[in-house]
Amino acid sequence: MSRRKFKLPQKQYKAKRLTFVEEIAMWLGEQPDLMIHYLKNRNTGGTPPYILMYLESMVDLKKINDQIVQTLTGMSHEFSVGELAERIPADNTKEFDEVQQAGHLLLKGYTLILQQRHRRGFAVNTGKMPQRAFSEPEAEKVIFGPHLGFNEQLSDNIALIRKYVDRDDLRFKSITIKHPSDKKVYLAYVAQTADPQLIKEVERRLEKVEVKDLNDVHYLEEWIIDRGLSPFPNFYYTERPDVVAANILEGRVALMTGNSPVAALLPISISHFLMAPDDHYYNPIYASFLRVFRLIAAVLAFSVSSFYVALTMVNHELLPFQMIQTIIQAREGVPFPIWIEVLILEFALELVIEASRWTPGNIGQAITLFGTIVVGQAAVQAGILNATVIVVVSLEAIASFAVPVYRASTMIRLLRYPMIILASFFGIVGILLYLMLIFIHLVRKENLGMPYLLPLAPFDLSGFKDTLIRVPRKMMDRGNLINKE
Amino acid sequence: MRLIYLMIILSLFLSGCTPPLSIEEKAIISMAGFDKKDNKIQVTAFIQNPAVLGKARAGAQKDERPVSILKTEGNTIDFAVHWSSNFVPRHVDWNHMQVVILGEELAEEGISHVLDFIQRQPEASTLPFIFICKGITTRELFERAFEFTDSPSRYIQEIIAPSREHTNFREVRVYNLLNDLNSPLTDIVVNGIRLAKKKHYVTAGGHETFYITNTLGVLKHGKLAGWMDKKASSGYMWVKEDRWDHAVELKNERYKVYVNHDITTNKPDIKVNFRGKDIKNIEIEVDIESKISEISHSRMPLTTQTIHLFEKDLEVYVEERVRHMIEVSQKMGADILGLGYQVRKANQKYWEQYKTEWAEKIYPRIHVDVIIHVQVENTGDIVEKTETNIENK
Repeated sequence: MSRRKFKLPQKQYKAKRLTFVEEIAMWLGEQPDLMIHYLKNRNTGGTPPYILMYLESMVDLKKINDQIVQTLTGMSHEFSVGELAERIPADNTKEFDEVQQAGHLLLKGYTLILQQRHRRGFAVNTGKMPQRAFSEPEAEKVIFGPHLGFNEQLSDNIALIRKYVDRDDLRFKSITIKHPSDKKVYLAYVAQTADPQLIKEVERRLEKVEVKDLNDVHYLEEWIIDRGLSPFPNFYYTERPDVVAANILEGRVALMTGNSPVAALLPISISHFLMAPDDHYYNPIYASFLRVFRLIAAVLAFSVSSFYVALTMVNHELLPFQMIQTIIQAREGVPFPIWIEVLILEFALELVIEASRWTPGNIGQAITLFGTIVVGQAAVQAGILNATVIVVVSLEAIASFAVPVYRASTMIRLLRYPMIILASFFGIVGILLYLMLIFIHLVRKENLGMPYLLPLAPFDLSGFKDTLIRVPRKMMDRGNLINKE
Repeated sequence: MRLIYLMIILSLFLSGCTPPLSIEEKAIISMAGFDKKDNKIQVTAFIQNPAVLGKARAGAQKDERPVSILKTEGNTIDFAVHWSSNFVPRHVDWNHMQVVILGEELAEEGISHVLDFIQRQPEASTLPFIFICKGITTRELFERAFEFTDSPSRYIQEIIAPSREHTNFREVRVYNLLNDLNSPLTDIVVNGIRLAKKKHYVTAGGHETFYITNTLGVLKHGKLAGWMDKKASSGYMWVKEDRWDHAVELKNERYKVYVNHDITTNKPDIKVNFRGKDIKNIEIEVDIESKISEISHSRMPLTTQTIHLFEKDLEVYVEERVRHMIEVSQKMGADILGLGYQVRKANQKYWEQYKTEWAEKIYPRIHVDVIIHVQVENTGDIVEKTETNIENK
């Protein structure tokens, strides 16, 4: 067997008539890992009857050797392409007769079997995609419960969901969306609980999607949402199969793409952002306490610095006398107005967060330490910032990290900047009006036809069973078991 | 929808014309005094400057004090206050006053315009305690207080906290006065304040201290009508205030012992009895429950009879004070217990007919019966031995 790396014929190709193999190689362009094998049959000898083409980085060489080379070299005589299909012990095979078709198959990890002088070929799936082992997602770690997350292999992820949702009405619907190479998106749902209208609507919206690139399910969010821009997250993204399973059992739909460990759950309401994956693994009283606590943390993260600015700049009368004395003492010699001081510190906080996000772990610690010492201590000693502002902004930062969904906590951090500026000019009135604007937006916002503020607006008492609090499973499940029929 | 958003945003500009001022740019008044001298209103106030403490912490300007006195005067309070902006470096802020002290002379002429001034301040707080200076002008009081404390209002509040239970201290805040002045049925009682040598509580400097008097000033139609003596003030407290935890030490003549009563409850009840169209009498009944916490003769056996005697002693003590208080208030013509209100409740027609004459003619002559019931709940001792049937056999 001769084996060589293929080199593109440079200028002479115009003069010479190209073979089918050369045409395919030309179509692919520069591909340093393109391999072409000329197989000699042990029994027939002579000119190589078969030519194998594959991209070395995408195939399993053992598979090629076992399934193709062994079979072809051991054959008693030469077979046509149609006849080969029955003789090669592989299940995923395809025939082709066009250059473009052959090129696509090569790029997907197929090995092409061609014969000289024929413009037809036969492809065997020998693909071996680079793959990561299952691990616990960094952003959704739990103390108790399964420590398992998706990987980038769609088939593996589907298998995991099947494992968790052990039901015969679990469905995976594949939808092809407009993309240069027609990407597939999968909708996972449980037929009995999911609303057929919802599935139709998601399908309808997915059909309109036109993407140049689709590396992840996040790319689809902006195509599917109801109304223009909103700072509030529309989908709940998770890398945990148990979270996907729990949600699709409740009637939601999971949207998944290949090459990404993330599944998007829809439709969701704002209450989802207070839920952590392990709430269901705790005692209901403790889980409810945690959820209420997270709500308080979210409110604190959103509003503490604005209230501080409003109370110290406009509405002093609401502060107790002793508190005023403490704040004035701390502010002695600080050159900036309070709201600028707060914004400087908020900016420094974002800087530390962003800087530590992009630096490797061991250097990241140095940044945090430097940030803490410089901002926390030196700035106060130098009289640039006052200690109460540091307490306020730190409290706010810690509270924002107590919100379990990272996207929600970034949204909270983003939304408070306008509120700080309004508070500095208009005090409590400014804060209240800003909150009104946000509430108007939230009340109007819908997520695939579902009100975003559910179960608060429109009010639905039964909806609170697993949102702000978590009632015992007996109360949640009883009477809600779906009939298996 | 856009219109709604626009309206909300525009409504921000209706939020008032107070410019946003950082907290340290304000001269915060912690305590203010108003007095009258030579027909002019004297305003004296303590301005807190906590920034000095911050500076002192950093080790600079140690001679500066965190409190300064503002002295200003004018024919009206508002002018006096505005005039003060000539020499106070920051914006004067009246919203955090903790204590308001009124001069005796001003109180005799009427306090309504002071209350009016306090109310008119933007975002005014009506929570400050209010006192009337006794035997000293407010300015003198403030100047002398400036010598011994950096935080006079806090000092007064510290005295008030324990006074609530043990002295004739009546908690009167600006809003109480505003309410009472607006309801003409009840006249108001306010505590006095003066300075006293530290006899009982000695600090390193041995300075003077504030002293909240046990005598109560009576404000009739918003003017100081006079001071009740200590006995009458005490009588007033038995009827109008909660005397929980109040200690009364009484001598029992028969056993020659001193008994200390620790009061647990005092429930007053006022009844108006009519004879025909006229008032026959008014009954003031107070049910008191107490605990005997100490007897000077520790080995004295307590029996039901002796306890009855001690109850009687307390009844006499309280009755004497309440009667005295009624006599004093009748002389002043100030219905401080709000009996007129009880009469109106009992007989609307009568009240409508005589309400104009009530304070001057009817109240001073009315017959008031005082009935006190005391019950000792607990002595901490076993009063009578429990005898079991077996022992009897």
